[in-house]
Amino acid sequence: MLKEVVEFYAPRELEEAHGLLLKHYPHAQLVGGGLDLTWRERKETRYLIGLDRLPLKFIKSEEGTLEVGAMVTIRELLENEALENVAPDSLKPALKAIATPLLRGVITVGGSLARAYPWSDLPALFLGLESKIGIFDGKYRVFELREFYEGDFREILRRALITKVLIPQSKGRYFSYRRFTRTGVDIPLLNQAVSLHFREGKIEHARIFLGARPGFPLELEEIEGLLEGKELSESVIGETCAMLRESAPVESDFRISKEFRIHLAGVLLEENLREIKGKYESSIQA
Amino acid sequence: MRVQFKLNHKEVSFNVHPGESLFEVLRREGNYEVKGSNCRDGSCGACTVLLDGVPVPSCTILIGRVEGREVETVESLGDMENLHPLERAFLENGAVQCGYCIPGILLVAKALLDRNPNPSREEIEEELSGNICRCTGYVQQIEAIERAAELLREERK
Repeated sequence: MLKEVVEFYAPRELEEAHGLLLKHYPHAQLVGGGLDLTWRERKETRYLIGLDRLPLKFIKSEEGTLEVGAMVTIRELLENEALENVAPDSLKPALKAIATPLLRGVITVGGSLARAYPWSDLPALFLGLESKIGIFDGKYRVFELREFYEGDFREILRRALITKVLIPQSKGRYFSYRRFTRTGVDIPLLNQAVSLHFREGKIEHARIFLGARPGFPLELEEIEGLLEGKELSESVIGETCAMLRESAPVESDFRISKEFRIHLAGVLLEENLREIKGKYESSIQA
Repeated sequence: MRVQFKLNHKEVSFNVHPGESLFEVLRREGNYEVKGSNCRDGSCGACTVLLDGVPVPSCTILIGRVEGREVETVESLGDMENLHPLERAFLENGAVQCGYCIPGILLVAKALLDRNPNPSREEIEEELSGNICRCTGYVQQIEAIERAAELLREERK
């Protein structure tokens, strides 16, 4: 029980929710799935602002973009066929690897992006998909997710609500996501999102994010540069994995050592690239 | 504060602390068969209930989120006189040992069969992967769910 809480609000309008957040700052917490609030006590929290009644549960395609409302759970996202327009055959396996079916029914897209723990899966995954994020701070605003996280996003979110994530739809995207954990429900010790676009057999555009480093997801621009303009051959895969093992931006923490993370970074990249290579070659033959 | 919702198909209204979880309220208000939350973070599945038909760990659901919604515990399935096909199948297949995980697993199974009356073994295994059982090794439970799916399909004919 959150013993210090004195009130649970259930607003129906974004302006109302935002007003409550400002009124009770810094003692108010927004409640999406609520998982982050129930597993550890927050003595400073006095007011809870439930988001269930706000118009934040939607999944819709708008002009080449998949818009996912902040209160959509991972389970609901998995059940939506529009995922196939984002990254065919790859987004569902990535989402299914996160937590358990029970927890996927509670974890919300907005909650995960707001908390943005360094080990979280959804920030790394949506960064890899070059997504945007919508917020409401009295006005509706949209940011590139990468720029949002590079700025002082925690300060912004003290006085704002996440409303949605916007994911570019692209049947030409080849995407793979991997995470390494000790158990099925554990947080990742390392995660990695790889997104490649091909043109005439060569990689035109690459996006690779490494998360749970243990730091926040970081874009691997040097590795992307090594891939772009090349065919995804065995030698290119070998070369990029070797480079990552030389330069992986990882550290030790109480879970695993830097050396093990370096090794894992190379393994995840190799597996991700091979998976994409297989899908790309199958699609050409089809 | 007061919270009103449907519990096992009946309207209920409880005085609650705004910082309580659904698990805490159910255990206090009616001794519903929601097993003691072992992990308190949703990872063991013992305290599973259905919230609007979706299986969730009740220890992770703050009670304020439940206002106006529908909650089902294992009591919603059947009773000693009239067992639900899932309950019958679990008993017949020897799928219950200590029983601690069973209410949660039954509800996960019910939600699965409501959505998909003919799940594959792989789909059953996947859906059960959030519920820990230390006794059985899961084999009889999976077989019981397959048997219950058969029984339910026969009932619907």
